[in-house]
Amino acid sequence: MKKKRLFALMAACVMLLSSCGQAGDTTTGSVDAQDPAVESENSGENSAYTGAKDYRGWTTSMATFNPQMYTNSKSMMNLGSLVAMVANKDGENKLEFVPHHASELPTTSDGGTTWNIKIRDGLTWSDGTPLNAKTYEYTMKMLVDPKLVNKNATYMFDTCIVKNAKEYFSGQCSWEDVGVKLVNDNELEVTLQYPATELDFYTSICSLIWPVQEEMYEKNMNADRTSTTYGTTLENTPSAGMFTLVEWITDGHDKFVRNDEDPLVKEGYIKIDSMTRRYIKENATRSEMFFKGELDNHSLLGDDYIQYKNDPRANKMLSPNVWGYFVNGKSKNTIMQNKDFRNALYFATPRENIAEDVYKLYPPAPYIVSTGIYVGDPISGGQYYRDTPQAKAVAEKYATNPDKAKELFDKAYQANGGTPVSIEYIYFEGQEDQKRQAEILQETFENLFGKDRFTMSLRAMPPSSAYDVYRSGEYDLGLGVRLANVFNPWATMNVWTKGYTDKYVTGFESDEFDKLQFDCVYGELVNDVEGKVKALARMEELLLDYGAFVPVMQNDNTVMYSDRITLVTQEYLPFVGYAETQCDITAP
Amino acid sequence: MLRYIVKRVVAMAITLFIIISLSFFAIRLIPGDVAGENAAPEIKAAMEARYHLDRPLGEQYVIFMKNFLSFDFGESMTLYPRRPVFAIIRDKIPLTLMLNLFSLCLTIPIGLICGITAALKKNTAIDHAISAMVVFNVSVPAFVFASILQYIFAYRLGWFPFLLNLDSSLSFSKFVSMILPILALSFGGIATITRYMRAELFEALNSDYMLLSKSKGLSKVQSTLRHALRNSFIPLCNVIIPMFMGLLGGSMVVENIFGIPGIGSLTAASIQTSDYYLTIAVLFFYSIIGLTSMLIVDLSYGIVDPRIRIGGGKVRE
Repeated sequence: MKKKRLFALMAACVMLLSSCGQAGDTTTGSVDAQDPAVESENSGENSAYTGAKDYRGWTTSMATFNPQMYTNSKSMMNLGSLVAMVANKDGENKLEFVPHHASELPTTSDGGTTWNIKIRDGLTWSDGTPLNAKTYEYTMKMLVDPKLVNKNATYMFDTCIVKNAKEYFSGQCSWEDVGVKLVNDNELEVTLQYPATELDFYTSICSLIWPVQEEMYEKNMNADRTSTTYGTTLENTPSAGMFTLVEWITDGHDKFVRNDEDPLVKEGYIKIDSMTRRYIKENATRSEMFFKGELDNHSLLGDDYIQYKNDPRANKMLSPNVWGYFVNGKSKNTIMQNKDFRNALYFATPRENIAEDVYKLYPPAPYIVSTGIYVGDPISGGQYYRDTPQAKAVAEKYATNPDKAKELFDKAYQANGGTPVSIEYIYFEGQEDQKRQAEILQETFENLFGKDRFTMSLRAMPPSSAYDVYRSGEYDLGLGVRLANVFNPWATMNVWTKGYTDKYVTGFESDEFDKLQFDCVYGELVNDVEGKVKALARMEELLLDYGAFVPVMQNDNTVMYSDRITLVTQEYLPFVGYAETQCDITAP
Repeated sequence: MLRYIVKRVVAMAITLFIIISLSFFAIRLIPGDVAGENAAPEIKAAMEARYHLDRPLGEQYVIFMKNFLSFDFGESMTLYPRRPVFAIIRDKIPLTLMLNLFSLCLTIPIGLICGITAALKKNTAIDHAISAMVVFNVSVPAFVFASILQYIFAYRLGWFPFLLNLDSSLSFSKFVSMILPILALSFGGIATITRYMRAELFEALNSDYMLLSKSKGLSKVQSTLRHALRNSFIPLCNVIIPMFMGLLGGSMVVENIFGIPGIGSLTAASIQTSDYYLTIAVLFFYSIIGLTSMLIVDLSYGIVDPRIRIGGGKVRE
């Protein structure tokens, strides 16, 4: 009797598990098409939906809404800026720069050094206090305040260097010496140290500096004026953007509602009523919620990517960054000082295999400047850098080539006295993909060059330790990335110049490179788009020729949007991506 | 007794001082950057100067201890920039406390019932089933339970929400959303209590005093309730009381899976982001919990079992 009961219990368990498994399998096909609830949602797409339009998004965390400390610009939906980067609202798949808090796009009268910014009349914060040019002057002053040490102070002296901003930040001059002057309540004049293009000015000073409300900022300041808790709770986070923050639980969720008083909302750029974001760290949870219809977007990773990469709802993003490994030409290991050897590593790197077998969702990158980098003005006719003939020539010249790699290695081996070569490769511990990449590199190099002549050892380190080692120069090869600016790749190339103080040691030093970098960012090429494209290609070539960094892959993500979402742009646009905040919701 | 408590509190203070000092030096051995890897050199230098990281380690320690002893725990450097660390911990405690309290309300009675049943029905099918459950619960990590529960009951069946409802008041929908995390948090505790209870009660049931109580004419139920159960509870203090103190501890993985903004993931996140002050404050918080729970366990022995005298008082002749 007991045995029968036990058998019945086991059978029930097996049935339950198998039913779960079967149910799970249906999701791998097109479960939505068979789901009557979803079907009715889809049918509603064609009719004008007039119900509540709440976009259900997610993020992993939102530590603060203090715009001077936080670096995720897309999270500051409650704050406006002088100029907004938005997708064209009529579905032309175009990026636009539109004046937001500014009444018109800022202008320059002297070729890009002095900029005049006019602020709209009647702007207010969510609590009714006025927002004007004085607000922006105070914001900029606080941003580079030497006592506050705000993380985003660099926005004032990075791409565009505001005159004396860096000096004020390091306590070497007074605010009066800084190139920010209040003309009147609605007008501000910003003077730069070097002339800048409209594009650079709009995408840096005008887009990345979000205003802070003076009264609240001061109220939350400590006695010695070294810290403010502004933007750390809902109560001390005022809004002045296209959305107003109405709910926020740290590490829990936030909710924004459309601000109908905002100039761009009045112009029809925003169609949704509100946006609710849950903070979800687990990808599995996000995946289940998305496919259950509880989230409106989902970043496809792992199995989800393999299964849905060709789904029409999947949208490819372009990363501005290229991952690879740094090559130390100044290593104590003498073979690393041989240029032929470094180039051999470049040409032997099986980036296509690594992309296909390891990363799956990231494409191989036989280049240093990513396909996400845009050159020229996106409105009047710019293009992606990798689409230019100059960039194509570089990619062609430096394509993966095992035969050439073998030839170069043989030369280096002979120059090394014919003694076996041994090097070390550092990767980040706890990252299975990166470990696998290291193993593929090891196997490929050893097989190609000969195990009797070449060996490569692998070493796992925490990322921060690895980068410290790169700075010290005590390494041969080390996995990593240098971040790039989508619209101004020349500015972020400064990490390879001689004068950069936080360099990873690679031994790369080039006067030609340094001059090109300076000329493109601050010098004679600033307004010469064609010249800057040529310069970028040359800079890339110089880096690849020396073998300072071997690119492997570009970490492009793919985002899937739910059926009820109609995106304002069908193409990926630099900086704004698919402009989620501008989407429309066509079903409950 | 009072003297004993005072001595223990003084010892606790010394232990805390040592823990905080060791934490201070240990956390600085971990490589990291308060400004972030890709921050501009100017920002890095300014951030280091702001938090005195550009000074010798000994000098940093003196500044830190001076502030710490005046209850100035500092501000979060990276994880929640500029928020006082005390406020961060304080805000996260209520939710963690509520979840763990509900979890204990489930864990202790079920654990005790299972343990008592297994001991009384030793070597029967019921005992084997309970033992199998204990082995299963101990072997399977909480995050696996959490993921399975979420997959079956939220994704497949849709009976419960995926994430915790974050309403400030305890509504019915909030309670429903707490069921899955509570279950995920409870399985391990139930197994632990069951295992201890079964072992202790079984030993008590086979002891000489049980034979004596039966020979005095007490029924099995009477002798079990009056003698065996009470005696088997003494070693359980070691398990159950720290569980109450652990209410404030939270669980990183379960919190991440169910979107709970609790304290569980704070330690790992603060270490990963080189948030020195926050890390030390969290370690200080956990140390206080640990040391207090040990003190309460020791004191509780004397209450549960009057035979145990605490404090080393002189024996009257």
